[in-house]
Amino acid sequence: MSVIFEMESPLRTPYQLHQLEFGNGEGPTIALVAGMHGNELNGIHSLNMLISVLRMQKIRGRVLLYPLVNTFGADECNKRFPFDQNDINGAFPGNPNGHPAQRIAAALYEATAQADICIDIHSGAAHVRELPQVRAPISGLALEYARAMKLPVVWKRKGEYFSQRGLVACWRQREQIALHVIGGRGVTLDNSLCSMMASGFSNLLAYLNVTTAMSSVQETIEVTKQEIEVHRAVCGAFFVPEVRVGEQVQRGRLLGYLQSPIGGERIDEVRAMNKGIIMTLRANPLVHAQELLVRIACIS
Amino acid sequence: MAEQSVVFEIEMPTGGSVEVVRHRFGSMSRPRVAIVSGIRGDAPEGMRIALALMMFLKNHEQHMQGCVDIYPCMNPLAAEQGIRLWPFFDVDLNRLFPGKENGHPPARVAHTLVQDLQKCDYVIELRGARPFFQEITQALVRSEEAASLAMNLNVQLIWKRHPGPAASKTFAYQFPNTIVLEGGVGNQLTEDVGEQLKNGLLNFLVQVGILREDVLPFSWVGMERPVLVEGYSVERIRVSRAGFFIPEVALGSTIQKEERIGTVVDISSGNLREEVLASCDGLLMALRVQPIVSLGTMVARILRTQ
Ligand SMILES: [Zn+2]
Repeated sequence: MSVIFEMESPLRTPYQLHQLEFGNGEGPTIALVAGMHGNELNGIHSLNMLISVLRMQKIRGRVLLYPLVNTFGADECNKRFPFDQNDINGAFPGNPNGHPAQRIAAALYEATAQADICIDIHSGAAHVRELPQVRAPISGLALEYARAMKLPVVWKRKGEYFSQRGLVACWRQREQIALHVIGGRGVTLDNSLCSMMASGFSNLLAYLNVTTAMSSVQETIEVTKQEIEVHRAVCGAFFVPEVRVGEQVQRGRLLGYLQSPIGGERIDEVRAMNKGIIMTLRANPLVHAQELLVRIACIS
Repeated sequence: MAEQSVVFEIEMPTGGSVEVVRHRFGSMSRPRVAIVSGIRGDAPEGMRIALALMMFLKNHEQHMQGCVDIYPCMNPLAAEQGIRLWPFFDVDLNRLFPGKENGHPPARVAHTLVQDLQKCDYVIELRGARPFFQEITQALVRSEEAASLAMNLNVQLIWKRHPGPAASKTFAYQFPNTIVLEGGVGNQLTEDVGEQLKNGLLNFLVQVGILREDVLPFSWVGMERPVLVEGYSVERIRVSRAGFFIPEVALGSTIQKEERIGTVVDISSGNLREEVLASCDGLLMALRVQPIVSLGTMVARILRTQ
C-alpha cells in the first residue's frame, strides 16, 4: 500500500489517498475505486475481498485499487468530504490548487490516467438497497467487459445519465473504458452483496487474462431503461416491502404496500406488472410522494 | 518554557487521528489557571481568544508566577466543520461532563479534561455568542467568588445564574467557581470582542498574581466596569408569530418598556404579523441575527433596570 497524495488538514493528521498495486504490468491496467462517498461501505469491503484473492494469484497486467478515497467522510459516516461538504464525485477532473475535494479528485484522476479499464464502485443511497449491478454504455467494449463481470444486472444506459463532474464521465472523456458498479445500501454493510461484487471484479480480471479464472457463476439479466419496471409512491406514506433484492417475482406478485404512518391504514398496494428480479428496493420506509419504491429488472 | 502536550488522541477508524492539546505556560506552581475553549465547534471566538493569549504568554513567560494551562480546542472534529455537535455521534460535548473513563471518544475527552483540571485554582471557559445571536460581552458565573473575580475580566455584564436542569452535565458545572466568557456573534469572529476579552484575561492574570501589571499592553483605566446581575433580572423576549424577524434596535442600546424591538413579517406576503415590544426598561444584551423565527422563538434578552 502506498500513499499517492497527501494534504494537510486544519486539525487532523493529514489526509492521505492510498493505492494498492498488484501485477507486473505485462497486460492491461485496471483501476478500481471505492469509498468516494464516505457513507457507502460495500465497495470498500468488496475491494478488500478482491485484494485477498489478488494476493494469492499471479497477476498478468496491473491492478490499481483505491478502496477508500473519502477517509475523512467515512470516519463520520458522511457521504461528502466533511471539511467543506463537497462531493468528491462531483469535483472531477479536479484541480490541484482547488478546494480539498478537487485536489483529491485531481490526484485520483491523475493516478488512474494509465488505466485501460476503470471501475467506480458505489452503494445505493442510505435509503435504498441495490442488487449488485453494472451500469454500462449501450454498446462497445465497455459493454463487453460489463457482461464479463456476470453481476446480477447489467444496466445499459446512455452516457448523459452521468454528471459531467463525476469520475466515470471524466474517464470516458479521456477515452478510457469506464464502468459504474453499484451494490447494497449506504451506511450499512451488505456482506453477501459485497461477495457478489468481489466475484464480479474477479470475473472481469479473469476474462482479461489478468488472473486465472475462479469458478463463480452468477446469472445475469441485461436491461435497458425500457426493461426496468419502476414503482413510485403515490403519496407520502410508510412503505412496507414484501420482497427482498435479488428475489425473482412473477407478474401480479405483491411487492409491498403503502400505509399511513400513524394508524397504519393501507393506502396502496404495489404489485409486479412483469416477471423479473428485484434490483432496487426502498429501505427507509418513510417515503415522499413520487419517491422510488421498487425497480424490477424484467425477464423477457 | 511553554510546553505542549497531547491530553487526548482521537483515533479515527480509517487510521488518522486528531489531537486534543494542552499548552502549559509557567511552572507547575500555584496559582494554576485553566482556560478551556472549543467545547462546541461553533464558538470560534473563544478559540481565537485562547490562541491570542497563547501568543502573548509565549513572549512573557519569563515574567510569570504560577501556571496557565490553555486548551484551545476540545472538540476538533466539530470545530473543523463549524458545527455545535461532535460529528458521527451527534452529541453535545457540553452535555457529557463529567464524562466516562470507558465510553465513546466524546465521553472520554470530557473525562480526561475533568481529571486534568483537578487542583486548578481558577477555571475559565471561553465561548462566543450563542448560535444566531449577537451578544454583549459577559461572564456567566454561579458562585459569589467567581462573580467577584469576574469583575476584572473587562466584560460589560456579569450574570450570576442558578444552574438549570441540564446544567449538571455541562463543563462549567464541574468546577463551582468556573467563569464562562461569552460575547460577539454566533459562529463568527468579532474583532473588538476578541480583543476586549483577551485584555480582560490578561488583567485577570495580573489580579491573581500570575502576570506583573507592567507587562499589560494597555492601561487598566480603560477596562469595563461590569454590571452584576442575578438570573431573574434578565427578560427574554419571544415572538408569538412565525415568520421573518427584522430587528429595529441595536445591541447594547437602552430600551423602554413597550418600545418596538422589531417586527415579524409573513415570508410569503411580506405582511406585518407582529410588532415585537420590550416587556421592560433595560439594556438590550442579546439580539437574534438569524431572522427566520417560529412560535416562541427568543429574539432578544433585556437586562432589566430596577
Ligand atoms: Zn456513491
